[in-house]
Amino acid sequence: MNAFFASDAAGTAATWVAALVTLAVWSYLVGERRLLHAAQLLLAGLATGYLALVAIREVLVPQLVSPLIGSAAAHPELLIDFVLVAILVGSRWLPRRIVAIPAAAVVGGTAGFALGGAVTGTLLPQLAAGIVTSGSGPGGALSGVIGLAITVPVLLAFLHGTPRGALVAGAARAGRWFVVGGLGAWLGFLLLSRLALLVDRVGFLLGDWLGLVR
Amino acid sequence: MTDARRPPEGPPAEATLPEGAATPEEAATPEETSPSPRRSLRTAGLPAVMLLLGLAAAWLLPATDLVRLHEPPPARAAELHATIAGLPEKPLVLVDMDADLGTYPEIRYATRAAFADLLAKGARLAFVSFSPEGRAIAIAEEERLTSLGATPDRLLDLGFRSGAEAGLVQLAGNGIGDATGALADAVRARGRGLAGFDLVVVVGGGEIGPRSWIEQVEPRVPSLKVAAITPTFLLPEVQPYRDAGQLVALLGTLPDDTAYGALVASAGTGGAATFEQTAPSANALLLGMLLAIGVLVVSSAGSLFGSSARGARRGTP
Repeated sequence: MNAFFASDAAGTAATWVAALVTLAVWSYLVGERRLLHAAQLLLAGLATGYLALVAIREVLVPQLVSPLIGSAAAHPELLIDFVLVAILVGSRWLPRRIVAIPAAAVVGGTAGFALGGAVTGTLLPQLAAGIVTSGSGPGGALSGVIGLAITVPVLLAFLHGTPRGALVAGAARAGRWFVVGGLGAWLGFLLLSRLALLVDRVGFLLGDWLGLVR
Repeated sequence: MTDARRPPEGPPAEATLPEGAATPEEAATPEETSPSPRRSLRTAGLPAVMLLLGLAAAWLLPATDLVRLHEPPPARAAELHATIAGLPEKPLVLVDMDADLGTYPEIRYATRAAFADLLAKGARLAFVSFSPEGRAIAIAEEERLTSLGATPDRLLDLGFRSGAEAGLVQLAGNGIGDATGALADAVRARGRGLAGFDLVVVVGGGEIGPRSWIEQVEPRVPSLKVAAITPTFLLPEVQPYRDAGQLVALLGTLPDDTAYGALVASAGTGGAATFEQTAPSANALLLGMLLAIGVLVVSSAGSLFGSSARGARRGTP
């Protein structure tokens, strides 16, 4: 199965391009910077072009331009959207106070959705799930105690600038170690994730390109 | 009257640095600060090339029962398989394809196994994406399914939705909108908006993933069942959702993925549900992990011994 899911010339060419670009990136390992730089430029150019294409073809034209051209009177709100988009596009040349309006709408909307969702979708359901019920048995109770014993010190570790007694300071110190341990565990997950990607790339070269493994 | 022994007033040595350089280190040319190609090959390049060659050799070794990624089979793999098996015949499934291009290779095996599992169940798949990268992957996977024989009445492309989490809220409120096709008509005929789907499979990445669905869609469409496939690095973030029952199933590690793939492959269905992907090489992963652990141990030991030696020189522990 090659890069284009077909065995025709386009699929073969795609596989060869992918293999050669992979080798170009890896050439940095032996001190060759120009091939890596060329691959980086290729990626940046393709990504920029693709993002522009998606924005124009799947967002701006079908959701803004076409409705405005077809029946602007039926969608008066789109005129406001059009002006806001135009301000963002021309933000480099417009006064900061004008650009701040659509920028504030974007930031405020994003923060509003994120905060509301975090409370209703994560915080409250996870608090409910963390409550140990009477029927959960000793395992559930132990799990709850461990969770509490870790959560409280970690929260205390983020208390800065407030007067603390020896007990709270000790718990905060333990909390910092829990944070370090958590970060270490997460880095372990990240390492395994990246290793899987490297192994996949090696497998691509051996299998899809060279045909040595099935 | 000025003292002749005093240095002249004004900026000191920085004034002699080239324009744009604040320190002597910045003033140095790249050739002066970075090792020469030959030196980099000796110091950093050679071990890296050896690692690649070692991984390639490990890939070429035949798989054995001694090294397996999924022994014993993780429960998470069986959960997703059971979830799909428990769906009604010919279910309507929404696939949110929002994986990152950089991390999708890790979960591609499990994702394709899930597609095969769903198609074997007779599922009809609607694809939607909220990130441009996910959109590119969705197009490629739809093309692959079509090439395997999935007929147009079983696939629906809902395209790219802008706005990230705002787009999710819009999807939760408006459902599939004015999409056309047999699958869209089937969803609309149920008259429940997004709840008309029997299952949502979220193929997540760093931008939009299971957390976004749990936070933005589930509170608005509580009856919707959400399953997820994520890269390993997202597991600490999404595992609590599975534990709390907010996700009906979750594949989040390579052992999960390979065990699930083995389950699907053992079913042996033909046509578009064919699953013949090559599993990640357990030998190569084992070698990579052993090397990584070795590097960590050596570097940690070096730093520990180094600090002990420094402490001994200073007379402090």
